[in-house]
Amino acid sequence: MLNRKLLTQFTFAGYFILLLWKTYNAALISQAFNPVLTYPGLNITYWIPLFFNFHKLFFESYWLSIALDITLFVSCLCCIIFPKKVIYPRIFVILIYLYHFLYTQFLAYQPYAIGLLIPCIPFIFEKDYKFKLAFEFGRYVFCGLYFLSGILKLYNGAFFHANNMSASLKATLTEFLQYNSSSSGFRVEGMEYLISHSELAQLLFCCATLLELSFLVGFITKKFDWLLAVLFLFFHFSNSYLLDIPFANHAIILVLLIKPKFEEE
Amino acid sequence: MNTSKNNLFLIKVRKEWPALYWFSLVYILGVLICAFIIKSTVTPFFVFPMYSFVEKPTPIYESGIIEINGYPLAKYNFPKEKEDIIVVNYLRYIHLKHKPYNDMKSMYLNKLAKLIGQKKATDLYEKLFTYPDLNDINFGAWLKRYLEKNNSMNIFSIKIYRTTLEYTKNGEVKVLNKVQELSYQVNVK
Repeated sequence: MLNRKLLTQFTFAGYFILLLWKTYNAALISQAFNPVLTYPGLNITYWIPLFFNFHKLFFESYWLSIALDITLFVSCLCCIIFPKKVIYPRIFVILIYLYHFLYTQFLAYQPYAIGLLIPCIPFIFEKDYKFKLAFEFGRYVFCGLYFLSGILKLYNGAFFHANNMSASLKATLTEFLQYNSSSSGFRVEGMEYLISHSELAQLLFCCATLLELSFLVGFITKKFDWLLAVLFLFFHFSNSYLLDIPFANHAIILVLLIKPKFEEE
Repeated sequence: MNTSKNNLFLIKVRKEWPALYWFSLVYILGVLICAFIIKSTVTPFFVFPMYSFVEKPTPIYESGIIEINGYPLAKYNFPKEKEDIIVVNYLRYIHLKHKPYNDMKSMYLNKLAKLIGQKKATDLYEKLFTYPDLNDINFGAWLKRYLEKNNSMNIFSIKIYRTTLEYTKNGEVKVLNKVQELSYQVNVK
């Protein structure tokens, strides 16, 4: 349990590390150098700013994109240094949503980049009771995201098709295996083994679905939040290793499993 | 704060912060619509539908290869996100060269036309999903800029190939065909 001040500092320290990681990955807006292609199919909400060429304002002006990146860093630092001021989280939230819109125009990464949009929201509320309820709401959004993902795997049928995971691996890993076919590492061999053993691949997929469904527990009790955090990390490290799907952008969502502590409690 | 009597979040929030209560209800409804009807995230209604649909195996797969200065780019030495920015963009470039916007058309245009009329839907589609300036020179120039500025590289040629592949029984990929899709040369004075 962390009090609000420490929780603010902890959360935004996480965001700051993420921003440094993004700089290293050349994934900031100023590092994109005015990309040619966009990805409108990802998110209908983004059609409105795309229609009015809002993205070009930032992509075509190098100095405006630099300014966006710097203010993102500065507002994040201010959240850490002045954890009792809500103005900085408010600025940060606007900027991170703007960043996410622009970022998903040059990297079609949306699903595993939405985690960074959620945990910062509760910090914009000045009154403690609003912060606490918003934080709790964020926790339910997190649990609901994974539980619903498990439900969708049942509803849309992937869970019940014996060769589904093997086919998904083929479609996902074509590019990766093409470049790494000459290497005989354990990871590449593991991927190839799963592709050629569809029953085992589907068994793993079914386990992953059950893992996602287990986030229902989060709606019933908070006692097992530590276990949900472990399952989250296991799920995403497995995805990263076997499907080559990164989750650095998304991992900050784990903050929502920390229980805030208030003086009156 | 009441923590013992009304532990159900929605009951608690209804009493203490009605605005969040109503937002929660709208959020739940929005998420369900996105999950089961739209089948995609529509910010702020977040869903994870990927890998939930049945993937049909195909005999052949398509991918790409990028060569810088005559050599395959060692992009797997890059940090993951940087590598993906390069890969995602050149694979999309290859895709758009051969199937320009058909995927988006079938996904959205017909549904949109029913909602706002054919002309408005077509205008919106043209604006969002078409790239009138897209060509080898523009795309090659961007790729050169991105790679040089972020990797301290000196690039004088970029080549992108579309590859056709199949999987062997052991799960290995075998390249069947390789066709050049982009050749970008820098004039060295």
